[in-house]
Amino acid sequence: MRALRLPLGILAGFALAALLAPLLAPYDPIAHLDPLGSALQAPSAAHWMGTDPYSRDVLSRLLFGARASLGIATLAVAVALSLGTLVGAVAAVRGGFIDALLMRCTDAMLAIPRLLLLLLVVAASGPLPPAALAAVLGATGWMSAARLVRQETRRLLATEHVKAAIALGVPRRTLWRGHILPGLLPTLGVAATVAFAAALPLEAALSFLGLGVAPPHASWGNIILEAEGRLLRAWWLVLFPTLAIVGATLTANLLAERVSMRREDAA
Amino acid sequence: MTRVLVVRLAQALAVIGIVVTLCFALIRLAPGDPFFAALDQPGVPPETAAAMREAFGYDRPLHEQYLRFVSNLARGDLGFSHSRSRPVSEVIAALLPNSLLLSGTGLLLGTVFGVSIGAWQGWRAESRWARASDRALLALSSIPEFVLALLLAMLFALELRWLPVSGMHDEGINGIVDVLRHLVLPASTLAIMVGAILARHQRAAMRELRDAEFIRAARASGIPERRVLFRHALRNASAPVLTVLGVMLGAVAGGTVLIERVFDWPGMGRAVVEAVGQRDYPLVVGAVIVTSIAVTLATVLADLAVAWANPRLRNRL
Amino acid sequence: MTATLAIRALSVETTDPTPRRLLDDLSFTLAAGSSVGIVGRSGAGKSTIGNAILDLLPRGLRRTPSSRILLGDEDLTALGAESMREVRGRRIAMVFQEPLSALDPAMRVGRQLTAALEAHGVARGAEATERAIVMLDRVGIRDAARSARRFPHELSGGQRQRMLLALALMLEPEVLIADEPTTALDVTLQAQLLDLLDDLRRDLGTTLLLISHDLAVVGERCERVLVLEQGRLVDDGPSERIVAERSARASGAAAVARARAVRPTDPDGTPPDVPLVAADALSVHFLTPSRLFQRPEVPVHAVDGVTLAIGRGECVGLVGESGCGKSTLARTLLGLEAPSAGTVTVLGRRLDVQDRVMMRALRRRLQLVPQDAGASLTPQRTVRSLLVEALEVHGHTPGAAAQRRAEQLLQEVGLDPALGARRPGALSSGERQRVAIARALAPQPDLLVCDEPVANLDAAAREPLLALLDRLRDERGLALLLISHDLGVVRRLASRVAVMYLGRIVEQGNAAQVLDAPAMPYTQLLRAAVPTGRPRRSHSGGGELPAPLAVPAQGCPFHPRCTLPLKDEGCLSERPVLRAVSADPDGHQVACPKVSLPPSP
Repeated sequence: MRALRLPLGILAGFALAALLAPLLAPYDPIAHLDPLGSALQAPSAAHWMGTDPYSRDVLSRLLFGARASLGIATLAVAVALSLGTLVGAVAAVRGGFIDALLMRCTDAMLAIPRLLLLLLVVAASGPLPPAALAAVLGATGWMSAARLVRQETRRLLATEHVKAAIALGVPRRTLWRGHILPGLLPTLGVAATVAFAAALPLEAALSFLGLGVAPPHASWGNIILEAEGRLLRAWWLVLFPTLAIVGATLTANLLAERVSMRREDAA
Repeated sequence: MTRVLVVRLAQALAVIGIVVTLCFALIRLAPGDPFFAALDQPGVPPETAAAMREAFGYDRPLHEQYLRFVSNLARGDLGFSHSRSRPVSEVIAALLPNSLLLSGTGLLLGTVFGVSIGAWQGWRAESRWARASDRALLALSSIPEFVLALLLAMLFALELRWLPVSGMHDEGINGIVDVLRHLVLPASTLAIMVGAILARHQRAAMRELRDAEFIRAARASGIPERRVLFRHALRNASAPVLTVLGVMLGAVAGGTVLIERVFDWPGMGRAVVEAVGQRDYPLVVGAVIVTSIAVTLATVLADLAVAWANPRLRNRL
Repeated sequence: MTATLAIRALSVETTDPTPRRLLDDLSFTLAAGSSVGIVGRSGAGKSTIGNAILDLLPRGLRRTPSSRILLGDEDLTALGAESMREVRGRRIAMVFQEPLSALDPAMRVGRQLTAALEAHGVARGAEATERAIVMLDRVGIRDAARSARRFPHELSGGQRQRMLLALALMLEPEVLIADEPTTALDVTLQAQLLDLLDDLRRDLGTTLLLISHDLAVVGERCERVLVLEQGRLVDDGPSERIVAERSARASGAAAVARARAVRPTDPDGTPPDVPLVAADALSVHFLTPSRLFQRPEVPVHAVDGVTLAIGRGECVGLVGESGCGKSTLARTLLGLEAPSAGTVTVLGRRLDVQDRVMMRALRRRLQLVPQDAGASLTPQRTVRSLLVEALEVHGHTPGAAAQRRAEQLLQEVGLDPALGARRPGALSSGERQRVAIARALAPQPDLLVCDEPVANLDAAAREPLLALLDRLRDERGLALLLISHDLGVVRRLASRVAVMYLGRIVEQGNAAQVLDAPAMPYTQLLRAAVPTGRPRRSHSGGGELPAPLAVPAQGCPFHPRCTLPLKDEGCLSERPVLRAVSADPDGHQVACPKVSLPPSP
């Protein structure tokens, strides 16, 4: 558990910053403060992270952007994990034709590059509100969770202890809750962190393409978009959101690595 | 091996069928139809719009449209791109080679870089450098490709001015060297992304193999260390790494889209992003289907390579 | 030209800042051409010895600087990496424990052999291939030229073990270190392999260092035995003396336990009138899974026309090689597998897998302690919660009463009730085995089926567990069906024995009759394969258990391996049936028309 404390703590810090954004942000993230006087200003005492071309405060946008980016990613993980667990567990338990069918569908979803699939959805539906964006991100990201859950469930169903519990006549609910789920939890943990580490950069990428969180609302990705064409002159518009995205993704990757290490040790 | 190939190709065909159906469903679920954006403009008379719809069959029942969609696809007819005023197949035929050049170079460089550095890290896992570089690769693999592309562009193109920042040719210059100069930054971005992820898997595989009994057994019969590393360890590590590579192909295609967008590389990815902005459905759908087919076929190749690397998988499918 | 291997003050320690010693100051000498065994429990540091001699210690371990390993006049600890490499395989070779993990899974076996030849510059190209095939042939791999082109996973377990032997002896080394070379094998295969090892070693004049946890194996094959306990040599002497002393100590404990046990069945081993469980002409067939591009399904006869009865308080032993259908028979008796033909009767009621209510009621009376009992405990749960769950499933009052009963169960199997708070991972394998037995006892069954109850345990932990089972049978009147390939275990507990071969019972009767004076050539083969600790005079019988699909379609299933001089054409055409060979109609039975009962011993 100790190895998980650091990454979990950092993620909690990110979440806290997002939740407390209205209290922490020094300015209104959307208001054009002084379009003529203070657009594209480098970091200073008044604007710790500078301002964007519309004279909005980057720190305030970063804090409110955390709400959008982390919120969407978290919701997407919830959707992906639910879908993936359902598909994986059903495939593992049913086996045979159902298993083959579900796994071919998973393969098909994996064969379409996720970003292109998202672009197709956005092309078909037009700009999406944040909740819908999260749902779509989740609906295109359940496959690795499904594969992991299927594999692990199959392994667990074949273990001596699950077979012994079945032979003992343990009722089905207790069998899942008491003998299968405890073994599955670390895998779900890995699947969740991996899904998070994939969803966060994808949302950023979509917003960077102008197809994600719609301006004027901030997301980490669309702050960077404002730097297009003036990368060197407005380095702060790239640097700070990049640090936020990389920080959160790295922490999630670190968490995934440590959870899967624990999982292997346990197995 | 033949059996693996036949089974995998059959599965790939099923996968492509599902992809095509999914694309069709997504487009039909959207409000309006593919002509929505182009025709339902105030300036277009309703009769013209209706006539156009009839001409392209968009007034027919859904299953007929689906059959038409599939049979057109089978003949290589991907529809007409409104934004480019050319058949989609022509647009794609012109741009696909550029995308393949970029992603192919990136994949190749990334694989060489990832496999060699990962093998070293795993084999010498106790060395301080191996550990430090592993942490560095974890950080590197956490940088989204478009951010990495921006950072590389800022540093090498804008600040140091060593390399061009966008496009594929400088104006008026035509030559392989010029293309290669333009290729360096986008391909490196992709290579770093691929390499960082592969290296971490290669490292894990090598670390595990290092303690495998058959490695010790090979040493116990006096096999030289170089041979133990190359013939026994690297060969056996290639199976899990090739598996990862196969799974990553979709992400590589997605990464290529973003990298093309940042470096203004004239490939399919950049065209798709533009097409989405203009709601040019046929072009988006065509690009998605072509890319998915390419990814699926590449995955079949990766699976064959895995079966080569791990003989135990050859008879078990 | 063979040299003496002398180990002087060999110590191995961990490389941590606070070193811990795994081997402490070992000194012994292997005279040229001699055979020496090392025995010790698991964790005594046995495997470390071989690795230390070859300088192949795992990371985190090292030899202390004062350690010396002398091969002839040469000090191996002073050699450079390249010179040491030349010693490995060429002068000192090693046979590993797990054949599947000791062979490179991605390299054809022939290539692995030629690689060793090339590494030492002995032969290359076609000549190397030629020599590899000769070697494979020599270790008894049939069709050597074709087998050389196989991958390790395409060989059978016995063939893989032979392959390891070929790899080790390929370069005709002066010293061979064999680290538990047969632990993973059945007794019959173990005996064959050890015979082969003996033969080759004598032919080549190789010095042998045989490492094992099993004193019987070592004593049988070596002139001298060293006893290792916690990294130190505690005994060293001729194998006769060590085997005699140590087995006297072990059998003393067993005799005490046995003296307390009173056998409830009559001495003839006659089945009682109303059996607890009875199988009548029971058959279980499986279909091999059909796959794309493969031949259609062929039924495999896992159990083929078995008739067997178990009475109350009786212990019946079921013996045979792995794959003979023992476990399937047991699972069918428990109602976990549906019979394809024949019936199972429990307390006079016929089992019907469809009738769930009856199955639930009957299943309580019959409990299974599975083969890998430790693994049958869910690792995330505490021992107590697992026992409470088993009690509640069988209708025990939940809550505090079940908690108390769980602690009682732990006491009954000789465990401290405080262990209930632990998870299975924190227990020793012997303790886990006991917990599994406690769980099986929860519904107060009449019959306990124990599938290889001590196979996963160290020699030292076996006897107490067998004593526990005997006590439970004695005190609770619990019937036991004991499945094992280890005849010693069966002889220790069972009053009646059935011998299975390829799904059929080929001999059954009183345990003393069947095991001490077997009539069937198959049972004799099993018995001859059991290591005794005494030097072996003759070779044990050959042959491997055929794959289920390769079983002779007609005639006696055993005829390809049969060594009976009376073997004739009839054995090829007629399926033998069980017939009585003693005057008592319920007594000794054999499935062979040829054999007669040997004179009483």
